[in-house]
Amino acid sequence: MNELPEDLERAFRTLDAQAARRAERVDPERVAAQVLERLRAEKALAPRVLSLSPGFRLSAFGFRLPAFALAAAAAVVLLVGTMTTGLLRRDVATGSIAVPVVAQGLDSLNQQQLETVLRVAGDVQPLAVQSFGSPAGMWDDLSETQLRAVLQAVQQVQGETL
Amino acid sequence: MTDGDLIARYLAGDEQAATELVRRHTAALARFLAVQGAPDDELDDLVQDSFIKAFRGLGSFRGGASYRTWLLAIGANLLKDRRRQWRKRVAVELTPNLPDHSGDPAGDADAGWAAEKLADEIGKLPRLQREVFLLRAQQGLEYGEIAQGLDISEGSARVHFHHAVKRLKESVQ
Repeated sequence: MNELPEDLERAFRTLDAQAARRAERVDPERVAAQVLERLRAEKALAPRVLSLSPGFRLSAFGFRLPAFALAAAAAVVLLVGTMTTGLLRRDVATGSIAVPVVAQGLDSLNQQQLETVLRVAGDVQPLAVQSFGSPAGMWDDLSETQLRAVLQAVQQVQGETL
Repeated sequence: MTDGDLIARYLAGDEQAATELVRRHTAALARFLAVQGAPDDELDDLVQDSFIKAFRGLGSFRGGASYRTWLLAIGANLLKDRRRQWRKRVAVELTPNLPDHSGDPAGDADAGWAAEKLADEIGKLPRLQREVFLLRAQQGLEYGEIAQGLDISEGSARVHFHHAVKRLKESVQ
């Protein structure tokens, strides 16, 4: 580029030639394949979380739950995981959605429905599940009163942190 | 097919369009990162991560700037973020045995020394000066395009380039 002084241009051409040689080692086909693989993985994960749309039907369980209840349940799983194991990773914490006063929307659910919500939340938040192990069965041992107590505790924690 | 066409096709679900975008811009991005001292063993990952960030952020891409300029700016930001992790490592491995274009061994050695000094000084430039200088001197972009890509005015791009050249010139004298 002739707008550079001669000595600077010469030095820059030398430097850039070396950069070009180093850049040649980066194979565009390999990069394209790996980028595509990562984009596919992200897409595959996204619908599981985005499925929390209004009126989302839990066909496997035969009843409807409002989206806010499922989103709240996801937050419940994250927070319970934090309280019980302290293993919640930073990326999960920052990736979770702060849902204020989550348990209010669940007051009308019976024990079976509460357990179902917590299990479904585990299904839709795989990162959270990884952070404290599989939640499968962890709610089974709790009574309805205990389940409500967990939700209330979460509610209090959120009230203090928000 | 333009980059804009490929972006539209990718957003419509065409994976092949993404592949083509990566093929088109990998070499320029890798060279842009390499000249700034990205380590060889990190270059591949940096290029990949830049593309991933770009694809994730396509929704915020403004058509005014070229995709390449936008992508290079993303790469530069990524490099800046990771540079802290590399502080203790050798950032640039300059090889003194560069191709002899002049037939003048003494001159070539001088050029190698000057290039080493230049690489060091480029790394010390303020971010905008560095990016404007490289987008202009290495990528050959017009000031208007640089300005759009970096979200600054064209006049500001010219000023950053001028300051960068002044400082770099002193380093190789």
